Parts: sequence; structure tokens; C-alpha cells
Amino acid sequence: MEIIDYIVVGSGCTGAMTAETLAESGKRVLVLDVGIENESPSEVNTDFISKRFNDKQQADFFLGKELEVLSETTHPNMPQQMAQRKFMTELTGRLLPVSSENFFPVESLALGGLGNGWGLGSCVFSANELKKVGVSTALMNESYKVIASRIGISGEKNDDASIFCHNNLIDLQPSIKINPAAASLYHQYRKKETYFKQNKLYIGRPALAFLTEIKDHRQAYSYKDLDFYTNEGDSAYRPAITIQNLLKKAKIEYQKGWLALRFWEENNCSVLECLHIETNEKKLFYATKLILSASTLSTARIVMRSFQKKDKLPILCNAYTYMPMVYWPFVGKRNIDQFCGLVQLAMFYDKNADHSEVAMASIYNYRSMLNFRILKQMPLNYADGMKFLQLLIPALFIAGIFHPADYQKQNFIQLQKSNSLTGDTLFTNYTFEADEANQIIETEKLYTKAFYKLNCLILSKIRTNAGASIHYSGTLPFGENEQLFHLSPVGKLYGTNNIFVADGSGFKFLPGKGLTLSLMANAHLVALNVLKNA
Amino acid sequence: MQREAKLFAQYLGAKVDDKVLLTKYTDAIEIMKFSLSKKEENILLYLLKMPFLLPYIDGAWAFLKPKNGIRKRILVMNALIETQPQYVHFFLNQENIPFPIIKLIVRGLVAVLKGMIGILLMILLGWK
Repeated sequence: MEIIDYIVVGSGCTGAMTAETLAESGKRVLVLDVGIENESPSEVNTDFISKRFNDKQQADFFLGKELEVLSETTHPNMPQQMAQRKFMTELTGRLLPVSSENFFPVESLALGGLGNGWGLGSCVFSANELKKVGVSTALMNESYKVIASRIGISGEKNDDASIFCHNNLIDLQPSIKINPAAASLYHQYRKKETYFKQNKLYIGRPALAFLTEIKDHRQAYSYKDLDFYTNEGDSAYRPAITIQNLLKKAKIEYQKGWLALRFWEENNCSVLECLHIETNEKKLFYATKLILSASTLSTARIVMRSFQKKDKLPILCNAYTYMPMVYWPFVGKRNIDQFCGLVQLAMFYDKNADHSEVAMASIYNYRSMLNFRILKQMPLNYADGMKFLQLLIPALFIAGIFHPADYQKQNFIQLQKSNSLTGDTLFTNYTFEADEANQIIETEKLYTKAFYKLNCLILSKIRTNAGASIHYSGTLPFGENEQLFHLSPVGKLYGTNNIFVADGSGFKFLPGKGLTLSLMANAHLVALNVLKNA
Repeated sequence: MQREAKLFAQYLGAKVDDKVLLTKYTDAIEIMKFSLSKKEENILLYLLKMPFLLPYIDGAWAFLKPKNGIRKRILVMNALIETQPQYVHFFLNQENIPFPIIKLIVRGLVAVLKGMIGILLMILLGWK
């Protein structure tokens, strides 16, 4: 029986950060993962415009060789998935089955997990938010710095969004160059700043886990506007970069093909039972300490299978609204400038004026996703719709709003026996109580008015299915008292001696902001605590 | 299928003798398996004989039945046209367009009008 010092389950953003922190101790670290990889990553030497004007094979690139992008069988919450990112959600239907009428989570079994599709928006949580989440502000603020220095973050140091994005806690590379339409929109905000501030609304450049300067072996962004398709020079941070670097330096071991099922403890050692996804072989792995960072829902499955004592766990998920809108001054503008498809601006609504309940809107220009996706949603005949859109596209913005999420007693997850490969299916329920639903409507109205002030016309308000935000947490809440299905404030799973949880399972509140940076910061803290307990 | 491809290509402004595009379309429909109901098949046969009706009927479906099987197929043709370099100017402006707001309003109104005429036609033809 081989006992490994630390076993980390999962290779997403939290798994990668946990592994990196643990690896610094020099002890033996094994990352176990299903680890599906992108078998044929796109290599592109050109930019979006050149590709569109010259490449005769571009249909394969933009639509997928099997026309996956046009398929109607995509996940209800991933309607815009690129063919290049299909690998991210592969096998989840078979290995992570979910049954629900109102909650459609997006999960991943890929190397790098959902981090492969992260929008890169990097927000620190305020002291008030961290208090509600259940983690120490002082420790998290230190941890944010460590994570930022590892992954590289670019952003604006001093604008109205900086206090919400980074609060000057982290080192920043210069912000990406702003697209002309977004620059013009921002200029409108500056002219009407008083109105916005009276309404507790603030606009600025978002902080992004995206390089504008060279860092280690990663390159600065080259403005090719193919950000949803490729990651040239690794300028966007993806957790697989960390895993591969650690492997190259022989700091960790990595075994793929393994789905973690359940754990138990014997003789002061953690035992993890895994299922091989190709051979269906079951194998036991032994560790001094086991760190679960498989994602909130996957970790919940593992814990529920292991404890077998409780039938329901709570769940949190940000509600998500997106609004396509037209910025009038840019209708009909030429559309072949240098461009970036990533978030251009972020708007924050600070409801209580104390950073305790913020709803953030990420504002994107729309171009590289191609026109037909918008066209199919328009109530016009396609021939005229095409001409209409040609004028509209340079002026088209999409705003995605994250609403904060608190516990609601009707929302839960439950593992039920089934005929699936793992023998169970995750049953979920997620609805909004009247108060929360009203608050979402109020926030949407406020944003609509604000965009109207900026000369934007909202084309529609799309309140997505629950689960679309891909922000899940709160299944194993942080708590001071030792209770089963709870975590200590530093991530130890109560009821065990050597099992820790490093993903978002413990977060008792979900601010309406980008979550990933905080997940990584928490994972680093959990890993430090594991080392302290060694 | 070739006749259908030509109908949709012509409707969307592409060349009807673009063999690459037509082949891509027929291959795509086979891959996608977007089947038509009996009623939709009959309507398609009618539209093949009277192609000038398509903008109106499509406009009516956009209001009444956006997930109509024929519309799904037209969207496939649209996506294929969008990803052919020779048609990129249908989708991306290379220069600023003069009087864009007026053009936008006119195009929007024309499209809505076609949709309304389409609804009337569908009632008259008993397709609604």
C-alpha cells in the first residue's frame, strides 16, 4: 500500500492552486483527475478579420467539423459553446448525471475544468462580502496577492471600478486596450457620472487574468479577437498551464482517467476510491491528507456518498441576466479595427453603499461569435435580418449581470440512487423566493435605465435558467461548530481528521461578482492550512 | 436537396451556382438531421415553385413559429454563407455606412411589413 503525502482531486482553478501551494512544501503531491483534453486545439496564426476574409476552411473553425455549434442538443445553459471548448463538458452527462426541472448546472471533467472557459474577470471580495462568505478578510487579502502574482492580472489602477475589482490589493499589468465603441460608451459615463453615482452605479475597466506583458513563458495579448477560440501564447490564464508547469518541473504527479467516488479514513490515513472511466476498474488511493477540489457539486457528490447520513444539502447559485443592447452612435460603423472579444467594461451596483451586496454587469462587444447566433433570436425574416444586423453589429454590446445569492430553504441538492455508472444521480431544486426575485427585477430595471442613459437601447432582457451563471457554492458551509457536512473556516471537513475541501463548497454567500479569483485565493489558504496541519 | 439549397442561397443573397456552398449545405443537413414535418415538406415544395413568397413566409414564421423546421434549415445556410470569405461583406462593414440610423429603421420596418404580409398569406393559403 503506497501512501502519498497529499492527494488533490480535480485540476480546475482551485485544484491547480492547491497543488501549486502544496508542491512548494517539497512533499509528494498527486493530482487525480478525469482530465479530458482538447484533442485538436486550434492553432491560428491570423486574426479574426484576416480569417474571415481569406480562410476558405473557416466553417470548420467557427462552426465545428461536425457543425456542433448549430446543434440543438447542446446543454441548456451552454447555448453559445464554441466547438473548441466542447471538450470542457464532455462525458458529464454520463459521469455526473443531474435530474432537475429548474436547475441546469454546467460541470466539467476536463484537465483545467471550467477554468478552460473562464471569462477571466478577476474580482476581490470586499470585507463585508468575505464576512458573509465566512472567510477571514485579512487572510484572503494576503492570498489574493499570491494568486495574482501567480496567474498575472491586468487592469486599471485607479478608476471607479478598481475598488470593486482589485481594491489596490494586487499587482496589476496595464489594462488591455479598449475597443472604440467601449471607449465611447465609457466617455458617456464620464459625462453623466453624477447621475450614476447618485444611483450607486460605477463603471470602469475590469481586472482580467490576462497578460498585457510577458510573464514567465507566457506571451502578451496580441489583439487578434479570437479569444473564444484559441489562447495564443497562453496570454489568458488557464489552470492547465499551472498543472503542466508543475509537471514539467516534476513538482507534482498527475493521473488522469480517474473519477473520485468516495473516501474513508483508516489508521490515520485517507482512502479514496476512484473509478476508471475507460476500464470501469475501481482503485483505492491512499494519502496522508486528501484535498477535494473537484468543484462544488462534484465534491458534494463525493461527500454525500462517503457520509451516507444526510439526504439534502443546501446550494447557492448566482442568478444571471444578460442583455443584448445597441449603442446608437456606433450603428453602421466600420467593423475591421483591431479588437478584443473579452470584457471591455464592468458596471457595479452597490445597493447598500457598503460593498455588502454588489451586482456586477460585465459588458462585452459582440463580434467574433458571428452574426447567425443573434439572427436566430430576431423576429425578422433572415434575409432582411442579415442586412439589419450588418448595421447593428458594430454597435452591439452584451451585458451579463450577476445577482448576489443567499441561502433559500427550498433550494437543495440530493443524491438519489440510479442506474448511472456511479450508481446515483444528483437531484436538484432551485427557485427564487419573492423577495429575491423582486430584487433581481429591480436590479435589471436599474441597469436598463443606466444603459439608456448611456445611449444604449436594450433589445431584450434574458433571465437565464438557474445554473447558467456557473457559480455554485454553499453545499458544505463554513462554520465554527463541528457539524457533519460543514467545513472549518480553513477548509477542514468536520467529521474527518485529514480531509479538506478547497473549492467553493464552503462559501455561505455568493456576491454578484466574478467568483474565480476568490475561489483560487481560498484554495491557497486551505492548502496552507493543510501544510500547517502536516 | 440541391433545389432547396439553391432556393435558400438565392434568398440570402448568395450565388446559386456556388457549388461549394450548395454541397456544404446538403452535407450539413445530413449531419444535423433537421427533419421536416409533412406540413413543412408541403410548404417547402410550394416555395420551391414560388420562391418570391419565401421572404414573406419566413417573416411570418419569425413572429409565429421561430423554431419552424424550414427556418432552422435557412439558418444553417446562413451560417455557411457567413463562414465563406466571398460573402464576408454581407456581415462585416469595411467602411462606415452613411445615414445608418435611417437605414436601420427602414430595414427594420420593411422586415416587419414583410412579416405582416406573410401572416396574411399564410392565413389565405391555409398554412397557419
